[in-house]
Amino acid sequence: MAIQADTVQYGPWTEGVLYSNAVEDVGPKGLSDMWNMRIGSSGQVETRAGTASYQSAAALAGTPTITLSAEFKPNASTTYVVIAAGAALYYYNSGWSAITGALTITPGDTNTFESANCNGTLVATNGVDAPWKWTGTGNASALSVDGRFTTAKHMAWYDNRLWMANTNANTSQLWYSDIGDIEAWGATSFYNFQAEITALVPAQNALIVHTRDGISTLIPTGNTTIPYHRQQRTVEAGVNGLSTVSLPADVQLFLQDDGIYSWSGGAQVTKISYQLDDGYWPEINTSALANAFSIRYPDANEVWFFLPYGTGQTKPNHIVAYNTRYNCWSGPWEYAAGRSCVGLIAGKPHAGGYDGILYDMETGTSDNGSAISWSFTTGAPAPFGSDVRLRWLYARTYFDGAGDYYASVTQDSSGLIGTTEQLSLKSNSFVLGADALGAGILGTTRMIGRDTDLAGYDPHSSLKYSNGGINQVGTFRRIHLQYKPIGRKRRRARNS
Amino acid sequence: MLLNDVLDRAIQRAGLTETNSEYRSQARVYVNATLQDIATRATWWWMYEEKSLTTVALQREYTLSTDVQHLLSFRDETNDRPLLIVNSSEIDSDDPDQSRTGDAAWVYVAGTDASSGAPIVEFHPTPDTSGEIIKYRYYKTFPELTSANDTDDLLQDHGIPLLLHHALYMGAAAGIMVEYGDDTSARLNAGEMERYIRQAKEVNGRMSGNREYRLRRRDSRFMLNFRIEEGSLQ
Repeated sequence: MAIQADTVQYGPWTEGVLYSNAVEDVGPKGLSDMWNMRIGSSGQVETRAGTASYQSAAALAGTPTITLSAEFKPNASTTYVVIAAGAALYYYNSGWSAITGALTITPGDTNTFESANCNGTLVATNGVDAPWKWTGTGNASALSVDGRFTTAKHMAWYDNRLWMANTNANTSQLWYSDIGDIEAWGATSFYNFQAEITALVPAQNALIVHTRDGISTLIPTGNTTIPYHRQQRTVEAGVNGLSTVSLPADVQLFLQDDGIYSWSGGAQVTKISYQLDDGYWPEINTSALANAFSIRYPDANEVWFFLPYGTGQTKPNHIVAYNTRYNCWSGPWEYAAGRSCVGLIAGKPHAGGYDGILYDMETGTSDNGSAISWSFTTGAPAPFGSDVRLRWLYARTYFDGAGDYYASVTQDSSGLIGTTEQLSLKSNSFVLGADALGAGILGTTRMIGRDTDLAGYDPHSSLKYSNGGINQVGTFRRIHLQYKPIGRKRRRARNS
Repeated sequence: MLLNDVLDRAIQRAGLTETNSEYRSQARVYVNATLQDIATRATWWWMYEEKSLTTVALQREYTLSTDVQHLLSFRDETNDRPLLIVNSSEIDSDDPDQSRTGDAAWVYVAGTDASSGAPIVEFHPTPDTSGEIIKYRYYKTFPELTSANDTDDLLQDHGIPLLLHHALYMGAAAGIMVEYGDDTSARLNAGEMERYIRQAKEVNGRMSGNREYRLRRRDSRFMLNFRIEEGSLQ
């Protein structure tokens, strides 16, 4: 006899993870918790990609902190990967080749460089050492700024000029080079702002300047005497330059102490990380938020924020990812040793470590050979309302077939003692050389649905999926929970 | 089947997690309730019990087993003779000061033990010899099973036939589901419990062999006596 049951579908999870809500108030399209997983392009929840050393390169001698990760294209046919590590600069040429030359690079975990391709010349600055340049041949060398300043924290390439701000002489000063000449700096080619400049972001028709007092724009006028029209747009701005990201349509995302905000040109900034409040953000070490940084990852429709998570944590050790397609959040993804900087290389984020390694952040199914422990927890919406008791029967999980391993599935709610079951993630396809006739499962490699038991009587029920094995990743599409409506029953003091 | 097995199945059928101790306690309550229910459904052969006691010279009062529901017979094994179970008023009228001693010939129920609740019987005459074995048969009650009984084998340790083990977990599951409000499933499980009890009762009736029972001769002991009322036959 068929089971007399109703069903509720969880997923696809296009609302992402919502740490600010009670589990019972997270709907079918949201997740209440997530660890090392992301929301994919169709709302599936999947294990984040693994990490590995760029080109399998060995750690640099002395395991210095990487403070620059950049892809540099001096011309249409040439691409270099450049890093700063400890007291040296390198580019990759079947191994890391030093290009430091006579430059002085001061080692330091927070001496992180900003860089830009200035029409064929890579320029970088970190506010500690003098800005430098590299054309792709020979060694890097000091950038001439005509003695206008010695160091600058922030830089941008905009309107065919090189811009540098927050100098050793004046934290609120913004300098710009002559047009087409990054080493010619006029004596009066600067703007003074009323507060410390925290970021420069080139946009379609304006250079956006973040200061402690707000966001301003510099819009080209075409007039040689007054080349830019300056206007303050908001009274709020980002924390630092490395944490400010520009998106298509000139939307910017940036960090503040209480969360992550977006700005699209108006007078207001809009908080977009309410979902991370309460359940996640309070553990961010906001005193070290200046060390945070971020990057836009177009292929995944994501913006990654590298954040210092935990009391006393100064190194960014978590990533939370903002999905620009669904406007939702994934994460956190944990990298216990932390990441020091990030750049987009070959279309993928590559983050520096504190261990002399540049990590490809989107490769494989392990973290440089170590297991990625992952989990996610669904919401626990009440299909019939929180006043109607249900008897939970079983869950059918749809997932992408993987290897011959399991996900642990734990049911939970405040009103019941849930089950813990093992869900085989093995593909339905018969693998030659691995499966035996009579033992392997014949079938196509489509989305697979398998059942696990549920237990108990309660209006709500969430499911947590987890695995900690090496190379044991998972992709989950949706879950159907079968239940039998019981009706309104008064709760006893104990579990029911 | 161990009591643990019965608890597991009852909890699973009720859709709960069998490893949880609170659910196990809850299930044990309903197993006991089902057991008490079953115990009253028939005169079960496996509920008969025999125990013995040893006389003490000039001791009149003896405490029986705590699981005695009702007594069936006493016999003096040492002297090879039966004891009659009588009413206390018969003894009172026979020997008001109850001073007579000798080999016990009658036994009557005098009350219950204050601490254990077990029945107390008195023998008459008061036994004058120590060490004589008195055996008694009775129909037992079933005690409440506790967590200390979880590893008991219900057949080997308590004499409950295997067929009724299934009735126990069906009944317990039904009880739990009624508590949680799943009346439909509770009825299904209760129906299954009844089916197993019916089967067990059939087996119970065949326990003493495949004999045909018929009325005894009119002059034999314990006979039933039918008398036709005058004018009742047409």
